[in-house]
Amino acid sequence: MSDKILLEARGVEKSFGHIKVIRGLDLKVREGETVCIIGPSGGGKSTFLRCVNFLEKIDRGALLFKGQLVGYSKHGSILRDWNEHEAASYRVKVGMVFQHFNLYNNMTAGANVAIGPRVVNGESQGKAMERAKILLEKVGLIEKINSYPSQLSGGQQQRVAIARALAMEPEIMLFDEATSALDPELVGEVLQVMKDLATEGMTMLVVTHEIGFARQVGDTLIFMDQGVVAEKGDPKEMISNPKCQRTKEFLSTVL
Amino acid sequence: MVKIKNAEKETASGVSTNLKYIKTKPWGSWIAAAILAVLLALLLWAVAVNPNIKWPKLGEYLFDKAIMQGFSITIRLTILSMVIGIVLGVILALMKLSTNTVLRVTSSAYIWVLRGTPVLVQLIFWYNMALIFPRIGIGSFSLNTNHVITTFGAAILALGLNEGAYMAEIVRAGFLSVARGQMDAALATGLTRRQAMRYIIIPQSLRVIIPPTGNQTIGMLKTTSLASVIAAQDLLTVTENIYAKTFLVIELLIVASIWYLVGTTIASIGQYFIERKFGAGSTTTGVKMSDFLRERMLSSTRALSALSYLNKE
Ligand SMILES: Nc1ncnc2c1ncn2[C@@H]1O[C@H](COP(=O)(O)OP(=O)(O)OP(=O)(O)O)[C@@H](O)[C@H]1O
Ligand SMILES: [Mg+2]
Repeated sequence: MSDKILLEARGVEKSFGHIKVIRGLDLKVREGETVCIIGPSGGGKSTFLRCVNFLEKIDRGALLFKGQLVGYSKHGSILRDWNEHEAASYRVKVGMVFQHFNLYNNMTAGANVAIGPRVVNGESQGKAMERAKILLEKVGLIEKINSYPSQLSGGQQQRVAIARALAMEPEIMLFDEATSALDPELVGEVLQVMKDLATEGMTMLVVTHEIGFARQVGDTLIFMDQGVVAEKGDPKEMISNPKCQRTKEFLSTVL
Repeated sequence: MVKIKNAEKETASGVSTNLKYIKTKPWGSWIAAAILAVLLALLLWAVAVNPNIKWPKLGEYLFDKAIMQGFSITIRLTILSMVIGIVLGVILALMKLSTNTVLRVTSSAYIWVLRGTPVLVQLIFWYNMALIFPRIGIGSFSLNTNHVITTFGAAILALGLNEGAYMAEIVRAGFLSVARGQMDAALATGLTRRQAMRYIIIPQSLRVIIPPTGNQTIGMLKTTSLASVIAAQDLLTVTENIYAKTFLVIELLIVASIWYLVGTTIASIGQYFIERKFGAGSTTTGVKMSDFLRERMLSSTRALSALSYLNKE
């Protein structure tokens, strides 16, 4: 893990109507680091990830990706909102895995993985499919390349979704409770893929309820509550010895 | 429904051992069918022997040249109006779902006006466009409106533009039927909104859009008959022209009805195949005959199997 900061949030705030979901959030993710976020339901974890991927716009504060503002482009001394294409090319660098997989229902597993490289990077159908094969092999699903999402188990769908995100060769991967919609016996296969990714040096921001994963794989653990970072530290230390009262209460309910 | 005979012997566990299955007879259905058959026969008889209907004339006009031309105009009107309606519907639906307020309001206003006024009134409006704009064009270049908007043109414009308002709602419902997560995932992969629509949202919305579009097409085939009020030379126009001269009103109306039925039947068959191709399931297709027969046959097998397992202990 290098010392270079890949992603930084400074005083990020986000509201939906009158409800302030994120209220001044600061966070840094270094290159190659795996940062795990835990916290009670409704604490704004998903919302924050969506902001990082620019699926939502933040109201206050700044998000920086490699030192550059997310959502704005600089033209000399002028700051402009990103257009559709700038947003899209930013999102290429940020892979996202959703709680409910969101595989494209009209496409096979192979096509799900290949569509991004094909449409966004203009790769040929053959080359994009080659890439899809390699990635499905990596997540252990090469034999399902021609299956539609409805023919796959939840765990298989989520592994395809990971392959789909990796196909764009992102610089950071965001996981939003990637295993919480899965039956217990399917959680392991998805966590294994995520663990392998972390070992390979992928930068990851992982919202999870899997305390074991956070302890074993995470470099940093963040406890997020009511839209702020309530506690941050080394996962092992924080889990065995939480300092914040709310972290203590939360951990006692999930452990 | 299942009647059980000789059920008096019951074991200690409360399970009867001496059961016999008798299939329930659908007496109700049989009586209803018999009554309807009699009524239908009486009706057919009354029509067939009616001296006021000259059946040979019907055969004479069924393939009449003018009738065939009218039918062909009706088909062309239907297809062109539907094409305009579908293209317009997609554009209006995209406008209505856009984040741009001006586009949204424009689309809503269009739909409001065109769905809120009778299509017959719109038809007559377009026909009389020359009363408002005697000439249309840009700058010094202009044309006589009546030459540009012929009766056929007026019919197509009126029906197509009206259809656009209905198709907009159908297409919009189709887009909205696709789960929000699909768009999220597409954007997250780096697709633009336009690419996401093209590759992910539109293909998935087709299964919701196609069945009602088929219904609209069948409806349109019949609605084109309204164009007879502006003498668009469609099937009903020529039918009326002929019976105005020959006074064979009923005969020619039956001829026209036969051709409308032929058209809607072909359209229905086409709809069935297109829906099957897109795996649509949003319309109830009713009970299939084969399913009905299988169900009737299986009911005995099922009961026998249940009995044998019951007796197995
Ligand atoms: N699009 C939206 N519109 C309005 N409110 C929203 C929207 N998205 C999220 N919220 C609200 O924001 C709050 C935070 O939601 P969020 O999904 O970020 O929480 P979370 O920490 O991910 O919770 P969970 O662990 O249940 O996934 C919730 O109260 C939610 O109702
Ligand atoms: Mg969440």
